Amino acid sequence: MRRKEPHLFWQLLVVALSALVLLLFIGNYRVNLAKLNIETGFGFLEDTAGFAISPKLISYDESSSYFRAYQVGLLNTLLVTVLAVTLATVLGLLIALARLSKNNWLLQKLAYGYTEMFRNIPPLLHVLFWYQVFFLRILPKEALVFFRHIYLNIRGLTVPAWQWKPFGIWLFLAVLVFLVLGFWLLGRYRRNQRRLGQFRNYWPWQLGILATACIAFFAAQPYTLLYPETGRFGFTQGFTVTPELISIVVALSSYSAVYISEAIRSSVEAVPKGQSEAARSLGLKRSLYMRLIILPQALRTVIPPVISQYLNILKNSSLGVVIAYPDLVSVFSGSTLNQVGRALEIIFMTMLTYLMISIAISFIMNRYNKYLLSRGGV
Amino acid sequence: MNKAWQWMRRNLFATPSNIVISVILFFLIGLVAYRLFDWALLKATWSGTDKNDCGEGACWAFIRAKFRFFLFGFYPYPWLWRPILVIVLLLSGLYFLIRSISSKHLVLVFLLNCLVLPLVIFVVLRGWGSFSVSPDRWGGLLMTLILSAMGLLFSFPLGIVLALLRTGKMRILRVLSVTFIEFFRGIPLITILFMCSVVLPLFLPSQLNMPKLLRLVIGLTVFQSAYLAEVVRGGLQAINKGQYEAAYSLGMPEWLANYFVILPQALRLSLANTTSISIAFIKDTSLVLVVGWFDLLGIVKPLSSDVHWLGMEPEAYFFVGLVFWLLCATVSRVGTRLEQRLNRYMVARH
Repeated sequence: MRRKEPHLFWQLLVVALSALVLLLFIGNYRVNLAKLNIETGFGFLEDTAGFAISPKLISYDESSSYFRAYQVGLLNTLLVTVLAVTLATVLGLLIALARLSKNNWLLQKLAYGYTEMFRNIPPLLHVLFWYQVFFLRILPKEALVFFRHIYLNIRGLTVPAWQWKPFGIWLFLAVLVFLVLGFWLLGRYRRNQRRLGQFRNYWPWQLGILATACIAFFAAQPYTLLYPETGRFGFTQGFTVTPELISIVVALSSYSAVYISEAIRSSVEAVPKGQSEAARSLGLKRSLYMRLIILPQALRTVIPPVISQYLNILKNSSLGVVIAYPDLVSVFSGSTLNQVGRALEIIFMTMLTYLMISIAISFIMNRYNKYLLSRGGV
Repeated sequence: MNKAWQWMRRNLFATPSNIVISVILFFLIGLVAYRLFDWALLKATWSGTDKNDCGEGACWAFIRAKFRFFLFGFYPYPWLWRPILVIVLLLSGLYFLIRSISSKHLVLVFLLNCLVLPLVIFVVLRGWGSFSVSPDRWGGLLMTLILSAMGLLFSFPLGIVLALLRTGKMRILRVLSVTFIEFFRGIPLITILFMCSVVLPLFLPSQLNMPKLLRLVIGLTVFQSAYLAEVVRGGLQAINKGQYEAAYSLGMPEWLANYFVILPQALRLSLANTTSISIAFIKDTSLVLVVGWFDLLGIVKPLSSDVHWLGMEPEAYFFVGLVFWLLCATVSRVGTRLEQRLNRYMVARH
């Protein structure tokens, strides 16, 4: 039987009022545009953009279209997001482990201080700090050199450029396939053995697979490295990561790591105390019961808050606009908007793009969460 | 001595790996702390008239010279009592709001804060006739406080209504509220601010000249209310169904039950999360610098491009970071205290 809809009249009234407001907006919009003589529509996407963007992940130059500029900006946003998410997760995990450490007071207090200090300062300030203070003021005039061939100076981080030899990429793919296949087969074998009641250490096997892959890859050397050399105007070879990209990635990851570490820590601490007591009374070492008893249970509650942090990183990647990092907002709602006008189309397109990516991330992560829950932990 | 050694053995040098970590950390912290101490205090310059007076350490003379700009933006000097009065009014309004959170006058005080306070602030700051000061000249901490307080205050009614609709039985309105919440949670605040400053005027009749600041506050409110709605929804879902049933069996209609029974408990349950999103919101108000407002963070740029004080960004960011830190830490402390007080209050009532 269908449930009767409560307060149908009032609900419809609200809908009608919203529709009315929307219609008024549209009416005003058309009147205002006619008055200001602004063109509308998405036709501008085909026009020539005429501005340069750097860095770019796909080919783009001044003669490319605005739509190409949009794609470049979108990829730059995704680049920042992926890099910052990875770094923030690693850093967050380390901070959480440090805060949970029982026998190192210094480490624990340092992690606590880091958390307290970083989470009360706006992310925008972090970005500006790295860009304007770290790169312009803290870095010495001479480039810092790491491992002989990596240089860090005001112009960014210069690393040896990577060039595949002919067929090199295929060798790389083959090694990758070998790795994936190896670990997948080993995982299957291990699960079967566990089902039969056989518990063994598989790390020699894992190490073996990894070592074989590495040796094969580095022995064959399917690539050449172009080492940066100092010319008159900066480096002549090598690949330079711009200070804008470094600033935004470092700022976002060091800021978000705090929230990720808090999520991990609170999930670990939310596991009932009886669990660890029971594990200890069975004689398990701390490292072992953390891995086998506590973490699998903590993982059940840690995924949802971490998803929302990943989404925050995506949204905060738009802060790059203040240091002119060419992300989606900067390229599209900034440069393009200034040249073309058509504010509604451009900003709406930007909003919808972010919305799509957000929905995609939360969909994937929710599926992963369900998968974890259905497997009952790790 | 022996005791200290034992403590160190247990808490710093328990295992070989811990010894290594502790020693490395000790030197690292020492180095950073020494460099910072050296810069911020030992080699610092505390007074001077331009950057030539400063040495290689921190130039706190800059902060002293520009202090009023950090606090009030470019508000004209003879009328500085007006922003001071506004800050006092704002803080006392919020203080009374927090004091009356468990009293029966809460709604009245809240409405006073929501309706009268903004008007008073606007009239005092804006003035009229020859006293008028354009909002473009408001800035600094004053702007940060106004934007944070107004955004937070206005977002509460909207956020609560959205949360009630999202958990309620009315399906059409539920769809509307879910769409609203998920849309505004899925996009960056910057795009909302762009929307409000560039596109919103096109949606309104051109005779209605909505002030820029108001448009900004609307954008911030909408953004914050979407997040608040999710937090309140968490509180609503944590409430036992028996509470609703008990209220209905007393003959209360739904809105009355929500108002007297459900919401007070739900808001109390969601207080910790409300505090943390409020802090996030206060930090996010600094984004208004992207659309050209000189809030506490945005004012750094014009101040450090003064020809007498070029290149003072490190000191400025250090100071602004400190102020933001104090602001957020205070809010966090107030939230914790409030939570403790309300929990005690609830226990005493049972």
